[in-house]
Amino acid sequence: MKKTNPSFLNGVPELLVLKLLSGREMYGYEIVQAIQAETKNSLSFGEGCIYPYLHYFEKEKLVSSRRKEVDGRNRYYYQITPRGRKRLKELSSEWSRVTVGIGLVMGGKYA
Amino acid sequence: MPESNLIQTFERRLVELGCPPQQTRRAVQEMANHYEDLQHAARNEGLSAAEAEAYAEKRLGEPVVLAEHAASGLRQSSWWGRHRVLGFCILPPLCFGPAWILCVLLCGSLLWLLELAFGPSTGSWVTGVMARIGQAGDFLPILEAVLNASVIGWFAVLFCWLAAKSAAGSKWALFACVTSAVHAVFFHIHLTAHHLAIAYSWKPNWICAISPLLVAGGFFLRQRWRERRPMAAFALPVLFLVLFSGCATQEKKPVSQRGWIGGEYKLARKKSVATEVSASPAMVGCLPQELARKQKAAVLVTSLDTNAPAQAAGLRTDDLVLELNHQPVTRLRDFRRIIDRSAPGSILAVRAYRDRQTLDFEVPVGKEAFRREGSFRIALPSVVQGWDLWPNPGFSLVFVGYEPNPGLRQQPGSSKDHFDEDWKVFAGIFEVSRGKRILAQKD
Repeated sequence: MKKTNPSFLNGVPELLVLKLLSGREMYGYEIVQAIQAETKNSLSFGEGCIYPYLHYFEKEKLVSSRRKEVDGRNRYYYQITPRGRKRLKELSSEWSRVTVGIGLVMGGKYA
Repeated sequence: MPESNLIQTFERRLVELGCPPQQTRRAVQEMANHYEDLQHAARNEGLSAAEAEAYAEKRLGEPVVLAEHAASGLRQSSWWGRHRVLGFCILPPLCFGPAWILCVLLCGSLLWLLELAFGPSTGSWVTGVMARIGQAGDFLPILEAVLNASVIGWFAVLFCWLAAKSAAGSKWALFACVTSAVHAVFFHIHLTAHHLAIAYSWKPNWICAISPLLVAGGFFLRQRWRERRPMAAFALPVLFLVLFSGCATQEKKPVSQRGWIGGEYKLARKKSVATEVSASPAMVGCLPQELARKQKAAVLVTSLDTNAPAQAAGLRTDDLVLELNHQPVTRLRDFRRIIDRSAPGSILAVRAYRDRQTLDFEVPVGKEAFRREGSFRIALPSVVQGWDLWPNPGFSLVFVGYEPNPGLRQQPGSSKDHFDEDWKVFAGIFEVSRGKRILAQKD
């Protein structure tokens, strides 16, 4: 049976975080700032929400973390794992497929 | 830097939701770092300290919601967190049987390894010891109870640990302990040499039900301690200390005395469904029909020492005492009270029934010296005894109760240091009792 799309909608934070972490390792605050900078503040959410997602991704072995002392503070830096890269690839292709589909509807005869 | 209210609320809520300590520490640290970063950013933009704080709080989000989100994420990431009803209510009782089988297999494997390491004589030595244990009739039931309670207790610990690790919450850990306790009431093992039977029975097995409840109590106190409610966590130990300090005294209590005729007695009633069902140790249904027409109860002599005044006066074991001091005796406690209040040296008129004949005796009252004592004990409660359905002044809610002595006393025999319990109050494994230590008996 063909997979349906709800998982895609649930997977938006996953896609964003994995995409950002595919460039370099970051800590929570940096990830949130990067999301807001990249999306030009079009996405607004309680910034504290990012941590449960990061912990969940870590448990799923999509990202790994390491503790690093910076300016006397212990920060947890997250980096993407090979499994995370594979998942990112899947999510990206699904995203492309859905956006193409939505684009066709939006620009089609019903537009 | 002092922790803000937001971080404190976030941490408190995480603890209340039962997040494991390590995850809680990490989540709090990350949240605190983020909060500080937001404050720095706001101050760099020229906001005052108070404004920066308000800005950071607004950007981070509602702390209670964030904590619930974090706990929910943690729960969703583990099987135990996702299937709490199955994991903590249904699985614990189902695990007991396989756990015991596993224990037996482990013991067998250990024996096999010992034989491999030290030769075949080890196996025969162990089985020989087991056989000798099997002959010790008193030891084996205790070993059974201890083993069963330990296995069930450790299972309760395991489920509490799983609840804590999966952030399922203390409620689910307590559910697991309670379902384990309920199941343990009917779960029995029977251990003999070379044989282990696992079975379910309607006969309640209260001892094993206590161990998971103790684990639940420990888990509850730990949770209260984590929630920084030391009063709740310390209430129980402090109560015990107060009890201990109240009981402890160096002073010798005064010696009192009371009347004594010796012997052990029980209340005899007409045989009926109620006397058959009742498990009261103080009552037997053996009152003959011809006596039952005249009075509802009598006192049965169940044991009589040869040096007792009652024996010297002619009373014998299995006699039924109908009257004492010309008053019909229908309650064991009244019977005891009359004797206790009689002056040493006085004569008690006793009418007894033996072999369808009524006999009269004159029993000289002896003297019993005693000292009043109270005791506080931590022990397996007496709930292991059967149900007493006969109305009595005591009460029992299985683990909490009050039991007055119905008038049962044992003969000290050769021992001159004997304790007669007047009443006891118990709650779980804790028991407070009051009674008399018998020091001497003279006729």
